[in-house]
Parts: sequence; C-alpha cells; structure tokens
Amino acid sequence: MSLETNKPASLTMDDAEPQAGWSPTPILLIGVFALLVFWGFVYLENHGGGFSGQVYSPYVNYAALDADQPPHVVDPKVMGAKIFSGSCAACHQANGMGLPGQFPPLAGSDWVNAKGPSRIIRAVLNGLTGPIKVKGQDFSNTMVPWNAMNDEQIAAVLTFVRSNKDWGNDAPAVTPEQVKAIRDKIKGHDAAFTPDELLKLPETE
Amino acid sequence: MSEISSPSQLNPGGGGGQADAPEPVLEIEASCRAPVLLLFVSALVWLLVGSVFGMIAAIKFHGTNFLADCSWLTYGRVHPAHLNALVYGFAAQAGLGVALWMVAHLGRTRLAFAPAIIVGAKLWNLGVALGILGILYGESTGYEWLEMPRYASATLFCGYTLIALGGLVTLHKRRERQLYISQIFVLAALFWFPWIYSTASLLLVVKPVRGALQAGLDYWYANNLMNIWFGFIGLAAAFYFIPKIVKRPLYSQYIGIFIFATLAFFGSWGGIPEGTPLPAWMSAMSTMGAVVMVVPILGVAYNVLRTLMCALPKWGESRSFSFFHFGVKCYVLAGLAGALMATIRFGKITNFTWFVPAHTQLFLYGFFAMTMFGAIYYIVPRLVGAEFLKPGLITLHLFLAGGGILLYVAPLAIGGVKQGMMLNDPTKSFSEITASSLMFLRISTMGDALMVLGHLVMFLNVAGLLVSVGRKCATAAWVGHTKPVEVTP
Amino acid sequence: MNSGPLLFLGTFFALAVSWLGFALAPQLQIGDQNAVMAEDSGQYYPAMRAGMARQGEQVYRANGCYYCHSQQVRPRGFGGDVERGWGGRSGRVQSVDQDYLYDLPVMLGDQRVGPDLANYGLRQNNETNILLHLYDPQSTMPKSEKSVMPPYRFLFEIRKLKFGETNSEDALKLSDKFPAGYEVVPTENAHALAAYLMSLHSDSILFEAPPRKTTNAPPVKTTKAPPAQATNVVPAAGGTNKPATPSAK
Repeated sequence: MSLETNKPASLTMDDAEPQAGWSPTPILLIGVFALLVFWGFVYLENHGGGFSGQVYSPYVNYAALDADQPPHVVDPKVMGAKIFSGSCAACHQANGMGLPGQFPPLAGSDWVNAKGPSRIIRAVLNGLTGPIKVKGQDFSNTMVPWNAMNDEQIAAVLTFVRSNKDWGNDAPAVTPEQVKAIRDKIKGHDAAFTPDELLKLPETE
Repeated sequence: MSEISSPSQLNPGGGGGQADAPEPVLEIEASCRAPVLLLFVSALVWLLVGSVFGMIAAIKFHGTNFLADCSWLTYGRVHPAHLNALVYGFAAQAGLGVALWMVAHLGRTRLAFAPAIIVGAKLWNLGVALGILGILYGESTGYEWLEMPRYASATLFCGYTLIALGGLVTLHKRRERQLYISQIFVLAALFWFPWIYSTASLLLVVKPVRGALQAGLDYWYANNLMNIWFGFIGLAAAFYFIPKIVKRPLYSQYIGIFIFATLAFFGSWGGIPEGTPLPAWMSAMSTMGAVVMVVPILGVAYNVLRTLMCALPKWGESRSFSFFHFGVKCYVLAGLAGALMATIRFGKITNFTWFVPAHTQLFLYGFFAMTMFGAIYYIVPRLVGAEFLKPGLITLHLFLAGGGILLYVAPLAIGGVKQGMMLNDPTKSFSEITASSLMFLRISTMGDALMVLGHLVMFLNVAGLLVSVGRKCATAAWVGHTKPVEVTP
Repeated sequence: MNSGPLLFLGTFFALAVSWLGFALAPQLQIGDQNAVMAEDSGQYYPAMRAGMARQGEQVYRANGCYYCHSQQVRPRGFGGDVERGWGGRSGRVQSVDQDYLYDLPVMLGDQRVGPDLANYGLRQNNETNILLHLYDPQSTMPKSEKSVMPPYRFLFEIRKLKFGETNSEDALKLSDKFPAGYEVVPTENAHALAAYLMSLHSDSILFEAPPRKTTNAPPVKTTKAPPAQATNVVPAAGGTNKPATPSAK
C-alpha cells in the first residue's frame, strides 16, 4: 500500500538523524563517581557482614555473631552416657550390674544413691581400694583414679549414673561445681581412698 | 557549543565511507510501519486495560466491598493484573517498538525480519493475555513482577526472541557504521532481557531455589528490569529524540558511554532492600549499587541540560518534547529517591510503605511511560505520513498524564514516609497507621483517574489517526482499482 | 565504540558480574541449607507444613495476600517490629533465610498495608476468629478502627437452610443482622488458608539469629576468623534460653 499523501512539511524536515558531540566526560562527574565508589566500599566494610553466608544485619562480621551466641550448654546425660560406655563399662559393665566378686554394681547401689555425691566424686577422682560392701555383697578390688577427666565430664558421668532410672537409680544430678569443690579440697591427697575413709565423711558437704 | 570532530557526522547520509549507501527514509518508514504500529497499538490497548484494572484496585481502598464478591477481581489478583498489563503489555511493547524504529533509522537501513517481528508481537500479546487471565484465575506464581504462570511466560519469551532477533539483525546490517549512543543502549537491552527473564523464571518457577533466595532473585530481576531494561530503552529514546527535536547534537557521546558503563555495571546490582532476611552482604551490595547509580543519573541530567542549553523549544513548538522533558526529570528524581531508599537510615522508614510503589510508578510511569508517549507521538505520524487530526489532544494528554502522575506519586510518597515513621513507633496502633494513610490514598486515586483519562485520550487520538489514514488508503485503493465509468451522452 | 562484538562483550561482562554476584554466588553460599535440629525445641526447624497448611499456602498465593502483608521480622535497629508484637524469637531477633526454607513460593511481601504475618500463628490460634476475619475483616475490629482489608466472601458458601435444618457445625456465627434461614459455611480453601495462617511462626533460635543479649549496645567488632566450614551448628540453648527483658526505650 503506497501512501499518496502530501506529507506535511514538518514531517519531511526532520529526516536528519541526531548527532553526538565528543566532549569529554567532566572531571567532576568522574570525581563524584570515585567518591561514591569509595563510600560504597566503606559501606560494605561496615554493613557487608564480611560476605559471610550466616551474618545478617545488623551483625558486622562473623566474630560479632559468634560472640553473641548463647553459652554452650551440654546435656550431661548424653555426654555422661558416652563417657560411661567408654571408660566405666569395662568394669562396671554396660548395664551397671558389675561382676559378682570383682566389680561392684552401680545399679541400685546405696553408694551411688547417697544424698550427696561427695564420696563417689572422691572415688572417681582418686580411685578406690580396699574391701567394700555394696548391696550386701563384698568386693575387694582397686578402682583406678579418673582425675584426668575434667569437672564437666566427671559431673556428666556421675549424673548419668545417679539419674539412670533404668538401673533403679534416682538421685540428684552432680554439677561441675561440686566436682571442682571436692577436687580442690583433696588437693595434696594423691593416694586412692579406702571405703572406710569415705564412710567416715558425711554424705553431703 | 560541542565539537563535531568526525566528518562522517556532518553529513547524515554520508555513511563514513562505507560501501552501502543509506536507505531512503521513506523505505525505512515503510519497513517499520507494520511491526512498529502493531506493537504501539497493542501497547496502548494494554495500557487502557491495565489502567482500568489499576482503577479497580485503587477504588477498593475506599470501599472494601467494591467488587469484592468476585474472586477474579479481589485486590490480590487485580493489582498484579494491572502491574503486568502495564509492564509487559504496555511498557515492554512500546519500548520494543520505539527501540526497533530508532535502530532502523540510526542504522539507515530497513527493519529486518519484519514478518518475524509481527509474529513475535502477536505471540507476546498472546502471552500477556494468557498471563493476565491466569493471574485473575488464581494461577499467579507468587513472585512479584513475575506473576504470569509458566505457559504465559514461555509464550512471552518466544515472542521476545523473534522481536529481538529482528532488532539485532537490523543493528548488524546497519549502513551507518558509526554507533550512536541510543543503539548502544538498545543493543544491551535486547540482550539483557532474555538473560534476566530466563534466569528468574527458571530459578523461581521451574526449579525454585530454596528459602529467601527466591526473594533475592525476585528483587534482582525487578531491579534489572526497571533500571537496566526500561532504563536503557527510555534513555535511548531520550538521547535520540531530544537532540532530534531541538535540532542540536547530543552534548557528548563520551558521557553517554560513561553513563552506559556505570549503569550497566552498578545499576544491575541486586535491588535487595536493607533488612531483608538474606545475608547482610547482599543488601549491602545492592545499596552500594543504588548509591553509585546516582553518578549516571547525574550524567544523564548533565548531558541533557548541556544539549538543551539555550535551545529549549518554546511551549507548543513540539508537543512530543514536553513528554521527554518531563520523563528525564522524573528519571533523575526517581534515581535519587532510589538511592536514598537503599540506605539504612531512610530505608528503615520507607520500607514496606507507600513510598515503594510511589517510587516504582515515578520511574515506570513518570519516566518510562511519558518518554514512550513522546516517542509514539513523534513516530506514528511519520509512519503513516499524516499528522494527528487533533493535536490539541496531545496537550490534553500531557496535562492529564503529567498531572495524574504527580497527584499519584506525591501523596503516596509523603504518606509513605509518614506511614513508615508510624510503623517504627510501637506505640502507634496499626489502625492509626491505616487511618493516617487514607487521605493520601484518596488523592492518589484521583491521580489514577486522571491518568486513565489521559490514556483514553491518547488511544482515541492514535486510533483516530490510524482509522482516518486507513480510510484514505482504502479510498485511494478503491479509486485506483475501479475504472471511472464513461458516461456516454 | 563502533564495534558490535565489542559492545556485546562489554554488555556480557557487566551482566555476567551481576548474574554471578546475585544469582550464582548466593546459591553457592546458602543454596543447600536444610532443616536444623533446634535445641530449644528438640525439633527440626523449619517444619514442613502439613497438608491443609500447604494447601492454604497456595490459597494465600493465588489471592495475592502478600501484596498487603509482609512476612518478615526486621532486624534490630530497623524499626519496632518486635516491640509491636510481630516477633517470635525471644530477644528481638529478625527473620533469616532459614525461616523460609520450606516455603514455596516465598512470599516476603514488600508492603505493610496490613500487619506483618511472620509469626501470626503465635498470635492467633483460633480458627473461628481467623475465618470471621476473612469473611468480614471490619466486623472483627472495634467500631472506631477502620480496616482496608477486602472481605473474602468468595471463600465461603452461603447456604440456604432447608426447612427444619439446623446450622452445620462449620457455619460461622455471624451477627444478628445476618438474615435468618441462611448459613455461612467456610469452603475447604477457607479452612486451608486458616490452617496456613496458624502455621506461620519463625521462633526457633538459630545460629544466624541468636537471642539478643539484654544490652542494646551493638555487637563488638572482633577479628576472629570464621571456621573453615560454615555449618548450621545450632548451639544447645538449654537452660539459658530465657526471654531477654526488653530494654526500657
């Protein structure tokens, strides 16, 4: 279809395509650009979270996020079970029943279920040697010291044993502070305790 | 005055010593006519449809029972329908039409693959229609700016490929080898869209990424679509038509390239607001990008100002020019507002408030749509070889659209800031906040109404011209094909 | 710059940087997160939504609720989200990526025409209240307060009661103004949407979102290198998970 029209003058006069001059980019503009890029980098430093995938506003970096974490609290029963099976079950057996004549049971033991844990803490820290009566049975053996374990670990394993309902134990938990207190008290006393010595001590202290 | 240092620039038809002589302008127009007109008419139809949806959405704030019983017209469906019609129906097609026309003219060559472009435009329209219907039906994807269900977005993508192919081949076949800044912008834009669209569609709709990364991608896509794709095409039009209308050269090609490089590199960063549930670096980078983007924005203002120095057309001399002038001003304002919004100090006030859509519409409508209106008013008479029957309607549209967008943006911006400050104050109950926004919403709805009227005026004007030209052609063809009857006395 | 290929390369480079930085890098960094065992609840977080809630998520999506409601609690220093009662975690802590792991689609929302819903399930667990609010939002608010939320009556069915028929169990108890002889029964979509809304909570203590200490001071900037492998290690928050007392501000 051809348009046989008298094109109005205004439509024909504008056939020239636009041209462009070649003036250089003003230095001021480049200066502003540099300034804003610099600002951008400073901003990234302060608000970029160190490009970590875990740091969200308003933490400035991973370390700050880490510092704000709530203190690490361990479930003593879980840790205690692990320690027991690794260290104690060899003698006291996995079910806590011990071996008749050789290793005393922990399940249902009055030593274990005493009101306070001060005697058994000493036993674990320094070891135990000599004749001992547990649940009506006599045992005479030596328990090695476990003072290489830290307060948290000893508290955990003792809590595990004392609160193990499957074994018939239902005694209060042991805290690392209690272990530390006993550890400090018996400083200097390196020898293993005897059951008689322990029985002379009060149950709770 | 700026210096023209290359001899090839003195003679528009010179071609810089290349083998092919430039095509005559009439041939170029003829090749552009069908595809570009199709794109423009489709765009205007979608503009009307979108504005009607927008009005419905706006009225719902003043009477919540308005059309509330129809699930298809609930706010949460009619609002994305309005946005998608505006963005993909109007803005994209108008932009593509203008881009193709500019590329053909600047290259002094015919528009290549015109039939393919026509098919592409029809596919695009089909895609938009399917998408809007899908959204109203309830099959929206849930991602803002990407709500169209996948059958629609796939159709859109196919249509786009055909249109972009035509544009790229036209660029490649250009007879004027010297690239003008607008071609640079258009070339980049033509490549950009398929990349961001396919990435976003694949990683959000087809094989969604996990967690808030979806939101990150959505923000990235929206930012790139706005600042890069619409920004580039709008700037291409502004840098083309403003010098052409005032008959002065664009102040500097170098500044243009500087703008292009800084926009491409920094404007494409993230768009993720501060405080989003994503690692801090993502929003910090987005903020840096938005703030550095101030530089190309200032560059645009400077380039246009120096071009216009002492040569501002008198009022009424060129109606198109007023649209471009308005558009560039809105571009600068929107860019500065965007940079402010991205920082923490202002962002924490403006996030989640009416300021966000105010800024979006300032850019999309105040800058891009107005620029497209100016371009359409310039191009259509040249395509059909006839002037508008009622040029006064163009001025009417200018006032309706310009006044409308100001009435829309200003109250929402102010109301948004007020809303934001109240949101941050825990002693203010939520109903107090709602109550404070109502007056601003009322004024902005009035602005909405003005804009709808403006669109109607434009549609009638353009349709009137096309119909009258069509009638003339039909008459001419009829006359040409029927022999005059010899009346023997 | 006259060369098409050179221009293409420049464009490609700029776009590649953007794509690598914002599409690929985040995916590599946090794209393979999984649910973590939250020590404070002993359960995996986030929990996958049950059937009705998942269906409700699609109702939420289809009706575009996210155009007015956001689902993110903003960080400290970003306004008063938690002070407003929108938070879930103790200690004024914001939403993080982990909270949205099993959302499809993730509808963060970017407008607060209505209140934030990230922890709506912690504030409202009465389905009837939610259904009444959906049916007629204004009716659930005091007369003096205005709501701009549209009514979602199409999520309900108005049934005419046959002669002698009593209200079904499900029917909403509306005001006396409602004509007798009719009842309003929520459809499955309404129940699903209510289930979804009640499932909204982001309250688990996470590594990225530890409970805030009571001090308002910004965190100290120390220089400690992060571990080589950043894993979602959740500290056992056991007995110290006390809600932080809000500072007097």
